[in-house]
Amino acid sequence: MLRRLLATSALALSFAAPLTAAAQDIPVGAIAPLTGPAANSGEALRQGFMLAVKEWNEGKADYVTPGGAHPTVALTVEDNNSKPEVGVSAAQRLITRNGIKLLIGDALHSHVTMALMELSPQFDLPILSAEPVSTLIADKVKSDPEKYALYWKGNYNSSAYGETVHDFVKWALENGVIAEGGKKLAFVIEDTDYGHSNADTITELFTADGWTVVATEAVPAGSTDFYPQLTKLKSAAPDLTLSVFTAVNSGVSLVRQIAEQAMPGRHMAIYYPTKPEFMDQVGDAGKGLIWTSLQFAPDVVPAHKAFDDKIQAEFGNPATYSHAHGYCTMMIGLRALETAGGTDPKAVSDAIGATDYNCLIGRFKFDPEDHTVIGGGEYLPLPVAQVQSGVNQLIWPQANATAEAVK
Amino acid sequence: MTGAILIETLLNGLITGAIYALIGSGIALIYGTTRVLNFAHGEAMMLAAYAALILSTTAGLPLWLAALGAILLVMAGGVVMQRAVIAPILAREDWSFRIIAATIGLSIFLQSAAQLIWGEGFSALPYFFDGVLVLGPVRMPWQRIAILIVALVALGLSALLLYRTRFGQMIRATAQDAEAAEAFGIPAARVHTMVFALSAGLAAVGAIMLAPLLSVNPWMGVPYILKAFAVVILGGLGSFGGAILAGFLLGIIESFGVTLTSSEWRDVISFGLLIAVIWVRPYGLFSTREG
Amino acid sequence: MTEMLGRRPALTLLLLIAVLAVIPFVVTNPYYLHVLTIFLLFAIFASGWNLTLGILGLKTLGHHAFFALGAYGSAMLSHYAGVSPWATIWVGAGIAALAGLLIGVPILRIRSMPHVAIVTLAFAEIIRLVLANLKDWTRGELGFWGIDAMPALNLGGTVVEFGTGKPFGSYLLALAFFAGVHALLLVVLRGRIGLTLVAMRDSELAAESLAVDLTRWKLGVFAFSAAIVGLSGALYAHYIQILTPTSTVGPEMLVTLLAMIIVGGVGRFTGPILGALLLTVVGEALREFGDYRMLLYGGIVMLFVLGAPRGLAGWLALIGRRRAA
Repeated sequence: MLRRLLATSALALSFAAPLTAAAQDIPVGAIAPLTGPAANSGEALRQGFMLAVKEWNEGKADYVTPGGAHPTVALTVEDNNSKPEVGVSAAQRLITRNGIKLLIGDALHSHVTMALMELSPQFDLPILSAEPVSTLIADKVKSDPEKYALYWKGNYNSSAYGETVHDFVKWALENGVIAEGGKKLAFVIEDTDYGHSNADTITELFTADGWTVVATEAVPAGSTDFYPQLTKLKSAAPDLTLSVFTAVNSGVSLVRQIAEQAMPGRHMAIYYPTKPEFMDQVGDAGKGLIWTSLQFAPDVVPAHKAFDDKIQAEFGNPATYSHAHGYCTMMIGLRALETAGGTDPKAVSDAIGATDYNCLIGRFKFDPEDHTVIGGGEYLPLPVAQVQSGVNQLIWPQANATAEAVK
Repeated sequence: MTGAILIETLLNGLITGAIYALIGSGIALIYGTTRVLNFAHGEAMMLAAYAALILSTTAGLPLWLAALGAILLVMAGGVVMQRAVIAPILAREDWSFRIIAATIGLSIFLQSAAQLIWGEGFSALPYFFDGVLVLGPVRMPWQRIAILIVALVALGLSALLLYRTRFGQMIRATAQDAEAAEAFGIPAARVHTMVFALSAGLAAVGAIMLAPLLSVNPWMGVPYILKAFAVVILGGLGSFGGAILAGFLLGIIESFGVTLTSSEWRDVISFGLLIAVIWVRPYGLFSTREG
Repeated sequence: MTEMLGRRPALTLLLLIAVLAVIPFVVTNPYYLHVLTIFLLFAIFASGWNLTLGILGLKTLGHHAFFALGAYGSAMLSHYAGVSPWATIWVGAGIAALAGLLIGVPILRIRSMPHVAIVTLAFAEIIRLVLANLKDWTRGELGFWGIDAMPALNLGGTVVEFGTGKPFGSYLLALAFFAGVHALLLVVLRGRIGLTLVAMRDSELAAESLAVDLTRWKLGVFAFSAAIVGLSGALYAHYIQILTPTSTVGPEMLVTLLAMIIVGGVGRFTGPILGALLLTVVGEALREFGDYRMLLYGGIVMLFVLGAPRGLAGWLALIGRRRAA
C-alpha cells in the first residue's frame, strides 16, 4: 500500500517536474495503463521508460555518438486506464500542456495505439508505440503511408508469433516432438484483439498446410474456468491446442485444467508464460509445456540479469519483459532525438525509422513499408521455450537452444 | 455428443450452477426478508477470498482454519454493512432505489480499495483436495466435486435453519410482515442484520471453494453478481428455493450452450434467456405472482 | 412542480447557456474546452436518463446501452453507408428509441423495481457483448476507429470544424445540442405532459383519474428518454471518433453517470447538469490519482445517498428558499 502511495505521489511530482526542469529539456510524453487490470504491465513499462530517461540524462546511456553532445529530456507519463478515449485525452493534455515533441504510446495496448496514431498527423507529432503487436496497426500504416508518416511501431507484428509457431511446429513434426495425427488444430484464446489476431494468422498458415481448425474458443479476458471448453475440445480431439492469453491467471488455470483433464494432443502456449507469476503458480501442471516467446530470461542471460539488478536497485522489484521492452523503446526515441539534432517532427521520425540498434532483447530495425519492428531471424528473436524440471529452457531455434526438446 | 461428453457437460453445469445457487440464494434471502437488492454481494465473495488467502499465506494458518476464519470475518462484514449503510437508508422514503445506488457505490468502492491495498496481481489458493476422479472416460478433479458437495451441504443447512428452527421461523415471519412480526416480539431489525450475515456467509463459502480454481483478484465478484441476479429473477425474486433451482438450471444451460455454440456467446444466451422469461413469466419460472 | 424544476428554470437555463457560450471566446486552452465538451455531452446523457429515473420514477440501470446504440448506430451508418453524420446522429437517436420501446414493454408490465433494475442491467450487458462479438462490423474491443467527424459548417464565411483536435467547434456544437435538448425538456415538462408525468409518479390513481392511458404514456416517455441518451452517444461518437464496447456500455459508464445524477439530485431538472459539471471537472483534476478515481466515485455515491439524498440541486434550492424567507 505504502509503495503504491509513494508511486502515485511520485507520479504527481513527475507531473510537476517539467515546470522546474531546465529550460532546454525536451518534453517527451508516454502513455501506459497505470490503473485497472493491466496496471501491472503498465507500471513495468513506466519503470522501463523512467530508467532509460534517467540514464540518458545522467550521461550513462547508449548514445548514438558516445561522448558527443546529447539533448536532455523531461518525461511525463500519463494513464490510459486501458481505454482508447482516455488515452486520446491524455495525449491531448500532454501535447497542449507539456508541449511534448515525442510520444511513446501506447505502451501496451494495440487498441489504444489505433486511436493514438490518429493524433500524429493532426498535431504533427512523432509517435512510437512500445509493446503493441496487432498486425492491424501495420495494415493501417500501409493503407495510408502519408497520413501515418510520423508513426512507428516498436514491436513486431502479431503475425510474427504465427510464423514462429508455424516454423516451430514444422520443425517439431520433423523431429518427432509433436505427432501430426489427423492435423486437427484447436484454439483457446482470450476474447481480445490480441487473442484473435494471433489465432487468425496461425489459422491462415496452418490451413495452407492442410490442417483443419476444429474449435476456436474465445473466452472473456480474465476467465479462469475452462471446463466447458475443455470438455468440448476433448470430443473434437485436436492434435495441437494453442492458447493465447495476456492475463496470467487465465493461463495458469488453463494449463492446470488441461493437465487435470488429460487433454489429448500437444498444447502450446503463447505469451502468458513470460509473466514471472506463471512459473510460481503453475506447479507440476506446467511440466513439459512448450511456449513462445522467452525474450527475457535473467536466469540464463547475463545482460538480462544486469538489467534486473538495475531495476531492483531503482524500484525495488524484479524486472520483467515489459521493463526491458519499455527501456528499449524509450532508448530508440531518445537516440532519435539525438540523431535529429532538434525537435523537427519529420527529422525525429526519420531518425526513428533509420534505427538499427542492439538493445537488451534483440536488434531493433524498422520495416520502412509498414513502420514496424522486424521480428524473427537476426532481428527481434522469438524463441520457443519448454518447462523442464521447473526451469524454462530454450529449445528452438536450435542454434540458441539451451536444452533438447522433450516429447 | 457421446455419453461421456454428455455426463461431463452435465457435471460442469452442475458445478457452475452450484456456485450460482450459493450466490443467488444469498441475494434471494436478503430480498425475501428485507426487500433490499444488494449490489455489493459480489464483493463479499472477493473479500472472503482475500481473507482466506491472507490468513493462510501471511498468517500461516492451516487451510481449513483460514477458510473458516474468512467465512466468519465476511459474516461480520455483512453485519457492519447492514448496520452502517443499509439500515440508515431503510428508514427513509424511496429507500428501495437509494439502496441500489448505495450498494452499487459500495461495490465500486470496495473493488477500488482492494486494488489499492492488494494490487491488481492475481494470486491463487492451493487446492483443498488433490487428485482427479477417473470414471472411465470421465475425469473430474476432487476439488470440483468438492464445490458441488460443499455447496449442497451449505444450502441444505441454510434450508434447515430457515424451515426447522425458531430463528428460521423469525426470518420467515419478518419476511411476510416486519411490522406484524415486531408486534409479536420478534426483533425485526436484528433479524435483518442476521440475514445479511447469513447471506454474506453463503457467498464466502462459494468464493473460498472457487478461489483455488479462479485466482483471487479485486474484480472476481463482478461476473458472478450479474449471473446471480439473473438467477434470482428466474427463480422468482425473493424465493430461496427458486434461486437454488434456477442457479443449477442456468449452470447447465450455460455448459451445454458452450458445447453447442461458442464460448463468446455464452453470456448473451444467459441474459437473453432472462429477458425472454421476463416477457413470458414476469415473476419467475417457478411462481405465478410477485413473491 | 417547483421541486422538480426549481424556481424560474427557464431563466436559470438561459443564464447557464449564456455563460457557457462566452467560455470558448475567453478560454483558449484546447484541453479545458475538451473537458467542458465532455461535460456537455454527459449532461445531455444524464438529463435524458434522469427523465426516466427521477421524473418517470422508473429505476432503470441500463441507459448506457442506449448511449452505445446511438453511438455505434450513427458511427457505423456514416462509416459503412457513407451517410453524413448530420443525418446519422438522428438515426442513432432513433435506434436508441426503438430499443427503448423493445425493452420498455416488458419492464413496464412489471411494477417491481428490482425487476426493472436487473432486467435493464442485463439488457445493457447483452448490448455490450453483442457489440464486442460482432467483430466483423464493430471490430470488437479493438475499437471502432475512423469514425467521421461532423462535417464542417460554413457560417457566414467562417468555417467551423468539429471532432477530436477541433475543440472550438466541438464545444459550440455540444453546447448547441445541450441547449436544444434542455429547452425541449423544459417545454415538455412544463406542459401538459410534465403535469401528467408528475401525477403518474406521485399517484397512479390520480393519473388514471385524468383519463390517461398510463402504459402508453410511460412507454412514450421512456422511448423519448432513450432517444436523448442515444443522441448524446451519437454526438460523443463523432467527437471522440473511436468507440469500444467496454468504454461505452461497461460498468464504469453506469457508475459514472449514476454518480452524476445522484450527486446533482435525482428527479431535478438542474441536478444532472450540476452533477455532470462537478464530476467531469473533479474527475479530470484527479486524473493524476487515477487509482483513486473510482474509489472516489463509489464513495461519493454512497455518501450522497446516505447524507444528501436530494443532491446538489436540492441543497441549492434549500439555500435559495432560506434566503427568500
